Amino acid sequence: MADFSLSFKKGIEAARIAENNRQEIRSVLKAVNDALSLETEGKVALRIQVIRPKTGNIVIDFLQNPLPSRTILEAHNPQALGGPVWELCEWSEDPNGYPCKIQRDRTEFVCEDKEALESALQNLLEDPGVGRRLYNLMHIEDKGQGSQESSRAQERPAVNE
Amino acid sequence: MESKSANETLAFVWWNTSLAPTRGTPPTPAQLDVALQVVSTLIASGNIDLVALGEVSESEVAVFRAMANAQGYDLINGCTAVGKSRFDTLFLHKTSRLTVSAPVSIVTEKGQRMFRVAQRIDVSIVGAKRPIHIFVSHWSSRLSTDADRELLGMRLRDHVDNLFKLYTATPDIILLGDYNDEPFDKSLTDRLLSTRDRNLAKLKSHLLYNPFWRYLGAACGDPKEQYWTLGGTYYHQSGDNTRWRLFDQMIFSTSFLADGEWLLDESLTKVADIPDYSTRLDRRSEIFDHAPIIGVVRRV
Repeated sequence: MADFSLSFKKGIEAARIAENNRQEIRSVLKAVNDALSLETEGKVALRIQVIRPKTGNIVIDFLQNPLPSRTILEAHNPQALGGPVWELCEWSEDPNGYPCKIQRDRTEFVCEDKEALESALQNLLEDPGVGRRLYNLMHIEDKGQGSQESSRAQERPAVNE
Repeated sequence: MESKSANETLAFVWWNTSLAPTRGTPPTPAQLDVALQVVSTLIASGNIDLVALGEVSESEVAVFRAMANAQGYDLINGCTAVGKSRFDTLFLHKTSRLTVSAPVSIVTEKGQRMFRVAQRIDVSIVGAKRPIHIFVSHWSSRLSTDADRELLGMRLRDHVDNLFKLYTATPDIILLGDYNDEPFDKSLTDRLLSTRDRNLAKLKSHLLYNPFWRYLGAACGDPKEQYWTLGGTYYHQSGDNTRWRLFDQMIFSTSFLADGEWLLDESLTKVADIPDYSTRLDRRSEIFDHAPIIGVVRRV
């Protein structure tokens, strides 16, 4: 006779672990944002966004866009409403939380645990291209860009030989 | 444009050149000459369409590019630093037949350790309906734990599964490289789901077929003969109970066994025994310790 009680308990435990993993991932992102807020006086923050590319057809886009959505990690300036946002990388999380994946510039980092995720995000922040974008976000007001309509820009991937 | 014909083949080579190991001195000009000669020989004699080379560095790129261009090949530089790790691969491809995408590098991180999983390239062939997706791997040495090695197999399998989701029929996928694991290791069997059983693979299309199982050990020979022969793909002169390992392999999706545009030609898919090179593996003075491998598919 199958042990359904045991299976139920295993499922509950797995769900608990998955929720803990998801919360841990969010805590890492919060730690990144806390550091960015401190260093930029609140002018740069990262967030996860689901992007659905537009087909260009208003009816299709409104009713049922067939194009697959993408989840990205983007940078924005919380103090410049309507300002530009910059896609930093593609982002995905396993239903169990880990592994979560960061893909940027033809490289995919598969992060198996919290420490790996922290390392991958450090690597992302240390990228000169990312640094340039974050710097620009910090100085939006200096360049008079605060009133611009929100636009989502993506860095050009590095050209391989 | 080359016309399609029943005898049209596609041939792929993988070779760990040993020119630029992680911690080692640069190759001498003589050693580089040997490597160039090996690649030239393979290209000239095997009608090879794509050559993937491992353990090369930026220092060798220009030399290989010149050699490749002179023979109608283009070179894609896959040497790239990724965090604490580094990919050390070059891709040479026949420009008249193939268009090859820039490689996507895949790493997995666990704690503070980073492992190279693979680089993926997508190959479009003139006259073919579908691209072939190739994953080129050079996994870390066997100093890493079994759990870590199984993780490499799992993450490579994740990418295979992602491709399966994009197609209604079995996609054309080839995995090749130096896995530092043998065909029977769990990373390749239980995690990557590759099998030696061709008939089972035909029944279960999610499996991957590994024809290199048959090269575990030397070919039949006369025990009285003293000649030296290949017994795998990697040779370690100080091995206790074996000096040979079969670390370098090519593994194929089941579309190459039936129902695809291309069929695997197992008689031509093998470890390459190159005159004047293979015996170098047995010399302590040489840096070379891997034999090249060849995979051939034939148009249906």
